[in-house]
Amino acid sequence: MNYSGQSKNEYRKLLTRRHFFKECGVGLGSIALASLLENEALGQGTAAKTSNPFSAKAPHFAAKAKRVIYLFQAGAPSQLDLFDYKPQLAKYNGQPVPPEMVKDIDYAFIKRDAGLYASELKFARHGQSGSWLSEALPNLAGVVDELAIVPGMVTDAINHAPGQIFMNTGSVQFGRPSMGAWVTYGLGSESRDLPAFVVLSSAGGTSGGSGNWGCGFLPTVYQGVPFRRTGDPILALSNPRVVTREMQRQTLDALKQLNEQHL
Amino acid sequence: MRKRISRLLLLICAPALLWLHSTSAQQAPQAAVDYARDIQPILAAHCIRCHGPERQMARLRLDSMDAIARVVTPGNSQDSRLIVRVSGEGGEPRMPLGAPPLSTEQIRSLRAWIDGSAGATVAAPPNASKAATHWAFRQPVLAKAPPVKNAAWVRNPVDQFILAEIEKQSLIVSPEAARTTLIRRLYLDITGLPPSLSEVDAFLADRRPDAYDHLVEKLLASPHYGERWGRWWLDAARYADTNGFEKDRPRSIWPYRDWVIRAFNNDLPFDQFTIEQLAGDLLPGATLDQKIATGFLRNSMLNEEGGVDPEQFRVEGVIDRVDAVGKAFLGLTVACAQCHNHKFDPIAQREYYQFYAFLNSDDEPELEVPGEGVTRKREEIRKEIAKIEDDLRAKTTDIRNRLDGWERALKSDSRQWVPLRDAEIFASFGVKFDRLEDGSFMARGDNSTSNNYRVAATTELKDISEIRLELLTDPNLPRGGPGRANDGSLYVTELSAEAAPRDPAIPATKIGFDAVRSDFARAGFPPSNVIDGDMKTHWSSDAGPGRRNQDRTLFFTLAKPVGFDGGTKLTFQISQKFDEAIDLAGGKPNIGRFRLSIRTGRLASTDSSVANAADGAPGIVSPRVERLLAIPPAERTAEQEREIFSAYRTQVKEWQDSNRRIDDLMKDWPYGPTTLAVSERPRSRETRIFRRGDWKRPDTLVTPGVPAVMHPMAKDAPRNRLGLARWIVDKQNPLTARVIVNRVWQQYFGQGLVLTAEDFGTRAAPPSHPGLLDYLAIEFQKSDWSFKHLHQLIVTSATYRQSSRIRPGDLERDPTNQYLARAPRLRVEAETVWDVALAVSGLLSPKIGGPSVYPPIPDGVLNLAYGRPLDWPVSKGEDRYRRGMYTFWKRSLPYPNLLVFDAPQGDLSCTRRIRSNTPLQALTTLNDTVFVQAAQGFGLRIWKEGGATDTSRMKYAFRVATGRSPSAIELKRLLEFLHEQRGNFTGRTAAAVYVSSADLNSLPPDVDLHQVAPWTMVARLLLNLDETITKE
Repeated sequence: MNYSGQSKNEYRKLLTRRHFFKECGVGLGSIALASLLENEALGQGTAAKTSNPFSAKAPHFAAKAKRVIYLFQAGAPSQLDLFDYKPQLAKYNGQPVPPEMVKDIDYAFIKRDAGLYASELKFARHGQSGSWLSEALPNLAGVVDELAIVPGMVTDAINHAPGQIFMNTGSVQFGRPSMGAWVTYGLGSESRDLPAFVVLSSAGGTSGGSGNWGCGFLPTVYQGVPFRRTGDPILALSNPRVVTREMQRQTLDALKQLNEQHL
Repeated sequence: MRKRISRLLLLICAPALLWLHSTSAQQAPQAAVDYARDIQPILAAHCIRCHGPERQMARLRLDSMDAIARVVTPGNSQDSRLIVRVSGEGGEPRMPLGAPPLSTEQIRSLRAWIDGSAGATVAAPPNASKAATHWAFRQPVLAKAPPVKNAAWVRNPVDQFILAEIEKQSLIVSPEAARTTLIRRLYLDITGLPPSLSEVDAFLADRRPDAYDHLVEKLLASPHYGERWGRWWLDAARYADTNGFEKDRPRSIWPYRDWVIRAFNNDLPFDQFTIEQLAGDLLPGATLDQKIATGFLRNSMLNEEGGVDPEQFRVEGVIDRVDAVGKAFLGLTVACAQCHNHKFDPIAQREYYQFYAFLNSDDEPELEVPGEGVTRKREEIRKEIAKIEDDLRAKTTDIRNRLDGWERALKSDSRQWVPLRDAEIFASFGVKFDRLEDGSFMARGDNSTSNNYRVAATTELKDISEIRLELLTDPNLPRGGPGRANDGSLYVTELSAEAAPRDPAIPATKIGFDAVRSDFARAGFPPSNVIDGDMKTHWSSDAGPGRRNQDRTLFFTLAKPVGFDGGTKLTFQISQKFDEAIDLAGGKPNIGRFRLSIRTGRLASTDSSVANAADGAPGIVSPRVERLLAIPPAERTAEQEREIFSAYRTQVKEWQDSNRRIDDLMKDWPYGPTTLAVSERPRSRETRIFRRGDWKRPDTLVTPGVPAVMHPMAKDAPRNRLGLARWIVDKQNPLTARVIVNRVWQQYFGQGLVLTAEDFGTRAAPPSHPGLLDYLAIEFQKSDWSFKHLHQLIVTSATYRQSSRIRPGDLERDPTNQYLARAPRLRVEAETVWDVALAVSGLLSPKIGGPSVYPPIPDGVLNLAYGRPLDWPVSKGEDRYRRGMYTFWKRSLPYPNLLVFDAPQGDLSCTRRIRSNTPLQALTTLNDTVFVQAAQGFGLRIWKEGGATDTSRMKYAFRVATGRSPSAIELKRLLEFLHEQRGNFTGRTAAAVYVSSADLNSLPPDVDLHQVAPWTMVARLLLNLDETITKE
């Protein structure tokens, strides 16, 4: 018997929405149950009957976007070589930083009198918006008017982990909800059967660790669901060895009936 | 930059933005308006931002009674400015400006207050502080339990308070839960484990009227009680097994966890429990246990990333400690006042830093916890050595004279060393130094590479003939140092020096050395290695087990004295360059703490005994022995005399054999595990207010102190952690007892009497049962702060013993169950989900305490660790099946099976777990390896122990999982499932084997797995029942 072939097949099926809904009914059973439990456990004093923590909520402004795709590219080429045109920096290229600029700043690896280094790439304005792009992005230049570029962001976190946590949670300290957790918390999800907030990670992990998609002090449901590169994309997604789809179905049906019987 | 590989992290959120959602909260009108309960929260939420400590628009503050009097006319709400403005009458802009208006109910409350009791409150003395107005800052008052109609229901005062509210709301109490439910509830609540079948049977058979009370007593005496409630405390203590941040290296602090478990099992009174965790080291005659307890403070995260400023993260650590103490003991969000005065609670920024100052003056030692075996072995070695030394003494008749002569010779050189005090120091890779009182430097920060230290100093001395490099121990170094390797050892590769006159025009000249000597030389690492110009040879401080962690000295004799008129600039370069071969103990063996000194002139005396001393360390003793010798002989203890003798004998040539025997004995010197603790610095650090909370902007100096709104510290109390701890558990403290009993209550009923367990401040909703909260707080104090008494009180109440079944109409009448006319029905906590599965399966190890363990972890998880896949040496034997609380907790990558059930991450103090229910949880208990193994264990157990028939096995299985017998319908459905599964395995022996056994290499003997497999499926089903992981 070819188990691996079988599980691959199952995995593919699981990726379809309908299948997730049908086969993982037990999960939704828990969510329905959650309504009872949440009202008891969280008990925030509201009589609200929200059964699903992800149920879509009204935004403050009319929505244009349907979903958020956020690429966090730690270790990617610097913005100084791509989007962030710094003519002043070019002027000081090779010279030490003017002392008045670094009066109160300690740099980790760099001496105070180290020389400045401007991008070696040429920048030009593109599109109607006149956005500055470097020559490293010739193709993006053609569609630059479709982009919103926010060059005004600053940070004073000089180390990787705090910097990443700052980018993703707004605080250099661990323990705050990530952007994705907030979005999911604030807006909910139309989907009743797929994770509202998923995380895809390439190459090695990130310095900030799971804090980058954590839920901080928000309920755990709002935490990002990491899809993995090896094994199941979601932990424990596939049935245990040789437990066939039918056996899993039988188990879930029995579970559902017994749970209902008891409640 | 190391990071060449681009790391791509894709975060997708798919929110829907469609359904409008109406949230018109219903609020019942209040009968009598109370300022603290009803009015102040409104002001705090809507007004204080612009009319409070931060900003006083229109020069108005609404955070103190005398200020409020400006806008309130008692008895006349119609003419009160406050009402005019918030209702937007009279043509003036409505308050709060630019924010949603107050609700009708809120304005009604304000009016009712002004027309009613405002007169009395406003007339209070103008300096009446907030303490008088916010309920939580007032001392608990023992109110008379309110009268109830159904007095027969009441078992203890808890019930009286609960029932009074229930009757007020016209609700009806639930009947007592079934005995099978009660025993399981008690077991889960008190020990965190389900009862075994025999324990259930014994309880059902116990017909004594007080059988229940006996059970409570038995469970509170169980050693598993300490585990269950210890874990409860560890949430607040933010326990974790790693340092956090990018590097997230492992730390050893599990002895603290063991201490917590022991403390609960011994019912250590909570005041003592608090004092030991915050200041155990400061207690007179502090025991090792009391020092271990201070690990509470050390649970802060630590950033070891390359290039961090160590001071920044030391400060962050203290900030975290303030936060944890605030949350865990005081229920106050003190942390809000780090950057500015607290917006809602009466805590000024200055007071934050006064509080911070208590926690800002500590060393951070790694404490050894030797344990019995280690202590015994060490004692044996010491005895053996003493025997040899006594023999040496005995056979040397003129020993006194020889010792005196040796001592005289050592002291013959009276030239003074002058430490280079105003030196500057620089190291690469962001390593920073603390400058200590004695002129020594202490390295901090990144220690992942070997490093060079450059020191520059100016001196007025001339004729400088010798340089001394002292390598010093320090409590903040691993095992006490003097090095930064994990065992505290260090290696010096080269030391070079230059001298120059003050005049910058004249270039520096290299200083030549004649000789270098040390008090210690390890074979193959002579001191001469540090001046041989060879970067491949080193001097090592590592004197082997039991001897390596002590001060050492290197003396450099200059070939030609230096010193210029008008001052001399000296520059030292201390090189450390390690190859893999000497990085054995882990951690780079850089110098931890050191001091440079110089002296002038030549040695006057030429006492021959100095020159004739033994090889390796001619006539030099370690700084420690030097200090002992400085004590006048008459004042030395026997122990000190022995140590001096031990130093002497190593320098006597003819005693080589004895010395070698002692060296051999010392090779077996054992070490125990370590734990993190704090100890008070000899001189306290100064604390300044950080402007806007920025550690780089220190401002006014502050001294330790407590917030003025609270009770004052005792006059004679020390202004240190001990004073702080005693202040926290002072019976005058209105918060501590309330905060703790509230969290215990929360653990039983799913929500606290105050919902925000972490915040008892003015923004928090008032308690649902203020009288009960105060009663419990006072009772807790009166019982000598006994947790066990508190538990006993709660679980023997009729309130606790109610059924959790939801009756028709219950959810409409009391959706959040705040009135407790029924028991809560709650999914058990993360660790308990795990423990229940293992206990039911029969796999659970009952072992208590010890280092964290590594149960199997899914592959993909390890790859998410930063840098390289996480090192996860899966535990063998019983450690594979320990209780969930012992699972190694990596902060950046917490164990997924526990995290998914809402175990706190451990980054910050957590006093209220969120309880969520997600599909991922269902997937975990269904499919995860550990849970599948539990099903396999359980299946086998059912087959072996469940009797001979399908029905008997099924009944057995169901009872083991849920504690009760299945109903006829349930039994029928389960047997149907069994038959279904039998069909699945017909003719499929291989599948049966795979399903029923975890390890194909050690299949259970004497059983037909073909028969077992359907039961494995049943076991899996039962482990996934909602009821199995629910406290009913």
